[in-house]
Amino acid sequence: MLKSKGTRVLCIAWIIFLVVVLNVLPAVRSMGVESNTIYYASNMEITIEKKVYASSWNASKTIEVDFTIKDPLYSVSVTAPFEWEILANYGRWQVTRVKYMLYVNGELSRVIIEDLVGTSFNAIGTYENKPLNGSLLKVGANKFTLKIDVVSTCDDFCQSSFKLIIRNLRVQNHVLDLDMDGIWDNVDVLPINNTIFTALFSALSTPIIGYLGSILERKFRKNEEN
Amino acid sequence: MLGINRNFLVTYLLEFLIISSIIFAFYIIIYTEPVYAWDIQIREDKWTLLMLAHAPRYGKAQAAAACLHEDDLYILIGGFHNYILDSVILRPEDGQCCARFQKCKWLYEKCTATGQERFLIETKYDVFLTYNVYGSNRSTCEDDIEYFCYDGIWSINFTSKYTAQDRIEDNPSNSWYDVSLTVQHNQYWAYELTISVRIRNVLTVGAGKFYFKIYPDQRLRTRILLDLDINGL
Repeated sequence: MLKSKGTRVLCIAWIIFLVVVLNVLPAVRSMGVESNTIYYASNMEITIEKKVYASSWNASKTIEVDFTIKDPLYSVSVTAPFEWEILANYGRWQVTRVKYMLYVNGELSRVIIEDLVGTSFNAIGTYENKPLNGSLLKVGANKFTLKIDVVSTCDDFCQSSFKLIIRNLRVQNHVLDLDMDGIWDNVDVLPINNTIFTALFSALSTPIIGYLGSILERKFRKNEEN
Repeated sequence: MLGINRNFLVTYLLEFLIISSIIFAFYIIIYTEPVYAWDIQIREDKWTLLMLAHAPRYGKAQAAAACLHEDDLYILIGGFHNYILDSVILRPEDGQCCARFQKCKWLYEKCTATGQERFLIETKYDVFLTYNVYGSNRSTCEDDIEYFCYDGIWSINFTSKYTAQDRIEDNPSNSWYDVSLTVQHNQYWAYELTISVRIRNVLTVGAGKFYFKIYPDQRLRTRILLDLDINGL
């Protein structure tokens, strides 16, 4: 398709230039970037335990984690995963509500409600690792707070044994790659996918280079003729 | 015309069109879904069963569910990155049956022109319910057929039933039970779940089959896996 040797060389050079500038250099730069920073709570294991003879009872606990965001907010996603374990044994049918309230810089970001209906439970798990509300975050020092409220009710007095263990509460700061081109957003110069953009730009510029090549070739021929 | 000859136009513009077409066709194939005019849309909140663990009398059971999320398709470097979003394990004992639900907003859509219809979970709330299903009878679970209302919301209909005596001493051959979950919205089936568990005459066994058919929201791209282990004592 590309008959002139000069045009062929120009096209190849142009594509190589695009690949290097738009893909290889940002990819190399993104290799040195730390994509995931983790801040742990001071206590790795927090326990809420209650052994009472009552018709209703409640308990609560608050855990705080300080963390820092260095990159621009659009390029990060902050999550706060934790593991929980519930061991409960009640003398009668009882309804227990465990409410996890996730605060960012003093503002409520997410509420998780766990209801237990029955007499005996042995469960362990983690919750879906959703990002915290980005509008509550700020570049620099931030504070995450997990507030746990437990309320239990029964239709009569009974012996209740309840234990909730929270493990590995941590705040994770992920650097994003929204255009999914393998280059972290905080070092990515193109918001559009670099690879696709390179291919499109190469295709668009081919006729232009061809035109330039044909002009150059004509000039060379004229010089040769003269 | 501006010093451009006809051959040049044909050659390079055709080349440009071909390359662009290939790129756009590639994009369209990957990202485009058929679009239907969903003119009937019904939304309903339901307690949706995430998992169900049923311990045999004098025995223990453990059921685990993990939700995997498929994400991060890298075109240039790397490949697919899958990671676990959440996981839960229930460990009932001695004839107990424990079920775990999540409050979900189900959406039923129908395109009257084509007759195409689908069910999908539109929203998953951060509200969970762990429920002792067995009631007062732990010896057999034939009374565990449930369709309950909690906090003003009805559960999706599900059945938990032993089809043979679960005591190994009473039944030296294989015993088993089925757990089935169905969702019914008006007259249409939404998804189905069948778990078959075999309890053999040995101390520790784990054999389970799990079929989960769900009409997922393309946006969520969620796949649910379930693993079931039974330890008969």
